Amino acid sequence: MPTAARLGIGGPVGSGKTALLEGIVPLLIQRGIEVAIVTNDLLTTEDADRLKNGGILPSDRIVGVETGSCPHTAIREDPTMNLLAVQDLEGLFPNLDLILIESGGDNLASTFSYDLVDAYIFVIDVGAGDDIPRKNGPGFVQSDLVAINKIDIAPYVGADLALIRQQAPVHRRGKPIVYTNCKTGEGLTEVVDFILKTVLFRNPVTANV
Amino acid sequence: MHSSISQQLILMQLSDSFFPTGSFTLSHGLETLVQTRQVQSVADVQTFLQILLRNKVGVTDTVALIHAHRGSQNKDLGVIRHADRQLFIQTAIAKNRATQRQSGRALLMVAGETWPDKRIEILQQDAVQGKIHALHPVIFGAIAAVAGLEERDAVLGFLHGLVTGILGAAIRLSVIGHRQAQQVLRAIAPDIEAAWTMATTMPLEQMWSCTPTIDIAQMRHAKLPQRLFAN
Repeated sequence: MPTAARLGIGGPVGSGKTALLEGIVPLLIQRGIEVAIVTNDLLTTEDADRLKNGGILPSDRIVGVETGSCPHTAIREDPTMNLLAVQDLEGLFPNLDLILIESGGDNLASTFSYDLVDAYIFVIDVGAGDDIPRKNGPGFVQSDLVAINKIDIAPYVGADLALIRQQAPVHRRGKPIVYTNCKTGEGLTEVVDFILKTVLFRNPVTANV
Repeated sequence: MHSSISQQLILMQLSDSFFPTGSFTLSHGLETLVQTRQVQSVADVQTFLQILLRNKVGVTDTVALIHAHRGSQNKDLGVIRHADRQLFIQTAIAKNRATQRQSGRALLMVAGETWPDKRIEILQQDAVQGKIHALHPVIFGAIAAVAGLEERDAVLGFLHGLVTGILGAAIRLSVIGHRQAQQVLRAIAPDIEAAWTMATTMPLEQMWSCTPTIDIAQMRHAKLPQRLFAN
């Protein structure tokens, strides 16, 4: 049976993982990509409900998995419940191209098992401080793409965006970074390009949008 | 043929929470009982575990596990399928059937690669085709036999995994501390042993359970406004 590509989205609480999904899913659908989502809410079904109520996908394409307050266990040491959710979605929708797995909000050490995902994005936001890149968190350093989100609020929270732009590439050691504002859509096409190229093996869309 | 050391290592591997079957997502109703303040102390947690062992898991799940183990050891998959069906009938709470099935599928998924065997392959196909429910205790018994564990070790490994999973949940629910959890684990050793002794002679048709408070807690779990666990 053919299986869908799987992309993880991790990062600290409130960094904008759900907002990123809300931004990129419509862009993926526009490109004809068949998408489904697995969410790992920590305590409530708020993220799953928000995505369902937002109407970006039919609600049966959004599945919530409880993680017993162990968000990183569910994506790394024991991802079996997420894998079963993925298998169930593939069984229900055999034409799926891509399943997005949103981790529960975690810390900078949170990384995905490549038994669960083909690649993962780590989302941080400038409001958490301009020192985040130099903390060398495994999620920030090892992920396949880092999205530095909420770049618009930097001046209001005392974060030096220029410093982030200078230090992030040093600690990413050549791995890609995008700067996003999910409210306006800034940077989201780059995220979609990354997904198309890295896990779907299709041509980037930037040129023909 | 497995040496005794090999068997001990397999027992540790299968009963360790490091073995990935999603057990960390389950509270078996404890989350509801803590939120509704029916379980508030270390003693309450210990009582919860004792009731669960004596009146439910010991006389249902463990019995089905033993029969599945025997079926697997005798290469008689019909016995495993029958145990799975009987346990499904005996498990009255829909959410429990769903989580048992999830854990069973997870176990099949990981064990199939860890202990490649024709019996596991067939059970995996059965599960995909909906011929079996693949409930966790049944799959655990079948796989323990494939892996070379004796019946008693299979039961003890299963019960140890269940109890430590619940104690881990109790710690995360802030109703017990890490040192107290170890003391409770030690204190209920006789209950685990009693569960094994009771279950070993029981036919599948005599499975029973009587845990009304826990049952109601398990049924109410899905309606909790906030929850960490899948049950």
